[in-house]
Amino acid sequence: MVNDLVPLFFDIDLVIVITASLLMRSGSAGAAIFAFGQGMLIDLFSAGFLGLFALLYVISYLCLELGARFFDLRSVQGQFILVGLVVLIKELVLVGLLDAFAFEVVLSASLFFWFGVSAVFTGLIAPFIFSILRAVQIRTGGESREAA
Amino acid sequence: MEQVIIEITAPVQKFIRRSAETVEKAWLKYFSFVDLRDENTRLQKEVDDLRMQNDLYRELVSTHARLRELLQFKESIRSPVVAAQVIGRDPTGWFESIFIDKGTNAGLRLNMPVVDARGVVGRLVAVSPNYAKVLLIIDQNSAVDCLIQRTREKGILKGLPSQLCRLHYVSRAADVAVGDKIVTSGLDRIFPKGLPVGEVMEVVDTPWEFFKDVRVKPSADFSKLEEVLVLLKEDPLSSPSRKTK
Repeated sequence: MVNDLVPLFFDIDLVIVITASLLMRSGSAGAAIFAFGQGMLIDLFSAGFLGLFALLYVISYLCLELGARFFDLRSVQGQFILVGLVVLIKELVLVGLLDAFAFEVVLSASLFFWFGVSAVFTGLIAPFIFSILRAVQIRTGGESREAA
Repeated sequence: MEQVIIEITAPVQKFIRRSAETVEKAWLKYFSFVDLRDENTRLQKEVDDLRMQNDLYRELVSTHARLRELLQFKESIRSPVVAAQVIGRDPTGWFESIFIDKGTNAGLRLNMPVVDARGVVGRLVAVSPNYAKVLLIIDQNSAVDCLIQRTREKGILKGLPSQLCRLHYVSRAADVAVGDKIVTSGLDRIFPKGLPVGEVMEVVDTPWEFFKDVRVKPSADFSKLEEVLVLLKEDPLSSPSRKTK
């Protein structure tokens, strides 16, 4: 039964990557609003209890905020480690919340393996997303300066 | 003398004529190539258009077949229904829900049952003016009061991961076999009695358990849901003060 679920646990979390990028470039307020807003949006479109994903992404944001004191988000290694760690924490908190409030989650080695794979993959793509967002920011910033 | 001149000039004339013919042929060929390229482009576009039209017709035929099936099912239900299209799925992957393109403006209210041509799909858990969220019966938070059609044994159908369900509270003494049809009992006051829900796939009778472990394969194919019917009936779970306005 768990094997059938394997693809479900593989989750590349772009919301956390973008939140980390916003935290680095736009500051805490923008990142927190984005994380909470995305969480609320996911809550509205999912059949889970309202506030589950909003809470999860706020926790993820707080972990990013705290982790940014120990890891340098401007370096590729820092982005990889911090984003990967936060994805892992998010998955663990999600499973804990689901198990406590929604339904019984079968805890197994494969579940944690796929959480780890998700964390590593999200960490790996994080520097690319960071550079894309930076390019977009530079471009839009340039255009707005030209318009002014 | 005339013959001698002809004999001398004829090859030259022949050579000139042939050269002219070759040039003419090459010229015509060049133009025909140019035309060919244009024609090829035109035909390729035509093939693309026809291919697109063919795909469209195939899609229409498939939609027609699905809607005909849905219509036949609709005729077997007594209560009024509203047909809706599935426009989205749960974004998280942890829960099983869909979004449909009808809401309170079409008369939909909370807890209305949703079915497709094969059987029960779920119930409405959120309704806005133009959209509604349906909790599928394969979600672990869903529960449907059911009957085993052959033996009339009762049970509560709950969702399991991997698009299956489990029929809870079926006593060990109950007569259940693989292939038995499961239908709604009507006791939950949400789903009308007798709607097809699924088929027993596996029965495990463990000596130290109170109940049998009955796995059910739902009738509806949740991976291919496109159109559904919402049965218009009052929300039995809401008191008059809690009714959606």
